Amino acid sequence: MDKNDLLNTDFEITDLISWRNIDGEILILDTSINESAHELNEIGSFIFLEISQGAKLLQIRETLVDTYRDQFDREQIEKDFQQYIEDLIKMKLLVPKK
Amino acid sequence: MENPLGPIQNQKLKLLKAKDLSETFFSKDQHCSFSFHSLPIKLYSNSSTFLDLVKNYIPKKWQSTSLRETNEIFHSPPSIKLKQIFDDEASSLVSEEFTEENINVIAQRDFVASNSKTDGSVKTIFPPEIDDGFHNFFRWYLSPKLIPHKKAMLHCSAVLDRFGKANLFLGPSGAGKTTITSLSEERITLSDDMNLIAIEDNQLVVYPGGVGGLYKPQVPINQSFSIANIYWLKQSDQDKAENLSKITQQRFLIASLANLNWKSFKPSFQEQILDLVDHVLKLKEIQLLEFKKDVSIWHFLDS
Repeated sequence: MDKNDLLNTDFEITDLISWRNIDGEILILDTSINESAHELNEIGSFIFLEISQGAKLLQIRETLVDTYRDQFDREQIEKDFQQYIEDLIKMKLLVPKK
Repeated sequence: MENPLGPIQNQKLKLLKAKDLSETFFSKDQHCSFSFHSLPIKLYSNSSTFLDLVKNYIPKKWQSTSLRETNEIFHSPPSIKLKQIFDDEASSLVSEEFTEENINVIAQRDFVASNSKTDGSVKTIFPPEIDDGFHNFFRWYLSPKLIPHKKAMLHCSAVLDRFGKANLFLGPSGAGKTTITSLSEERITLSDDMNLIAIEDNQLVVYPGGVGGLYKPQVPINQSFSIANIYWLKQSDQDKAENLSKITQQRFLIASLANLNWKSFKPSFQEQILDLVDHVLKLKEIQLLEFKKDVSIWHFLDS
């Protein structure tokens, strides 16, 4: 999927998984798709939570750029964000909104 | 559908299907009833000798003839011709499970079983003995059914301390679950591989061995023990205990849940697992335990 198409698509968390927010970090129980339990780091958890609350990918990316502008340049943040979203889609944890 | 099993297991499945076709191999003529960790079971078998062995094995308090709603299991011993297949310890297959025509089929080294999705009936074939086939079948059968009852089969060793409370040791293969029991000197080991934890009256307890297979049969399988500590093991050059983050504890506990075929779970069952894990960890946290492979670890734990 083209970068712009991806960021303009509405995604949601698949209803095939169960998850918990444990002190700001997300634990996913993903038995039927990847047969695994995933532990997301702080930034991964933030993105996951934002998506679960219906935020648009572009909004989330801009929030990350604002938050981490002092530590990383925009290009790096955009690249990492894109990769992370692609990974979630590849793992089928993120699906296009119905 | 491509059969993922090797030739030995294919033979087991053929046996199962052949048996499945003929009711005579799964007789309803004789059975025994018992409650296994509070799950009512009606076990039919066409081997009366085997049923007698089961009656001797199951604690008397768990035996009953008037259970209302029961889980029905139909057992048959393997034919003499195919008995050698079950005795083949060289088979590399640990467990394969798949669904075909609405029947869930599992083949392990020492048992095969089919579970009909339409009527819930279970048919199984294993040698008519209280041995690996019996234990492994019941571990497979009971584990998912225990979760809603706030019980779980756990990959862990368990050793009683001097106050009669249990220390549980979790960890991946090779972490030292068995090693730490072998260093425990005169202390009582419940099981060095598998135990059953349960939340009863908001207390966390452990039953030895889960479904039997005790390291040393020193205590009956229906005796519960309070839990003193739960440790995740890591071999090291020092003896040291450390706290773990909550999320890591959750992941370690989930990884230690035994005999659950994750692929078959519905989201509602995943929620039950996470609820159970939450509850267990509220009652007892898991600590990281680094240990040297000598008896000093027990002096450290006692101190």
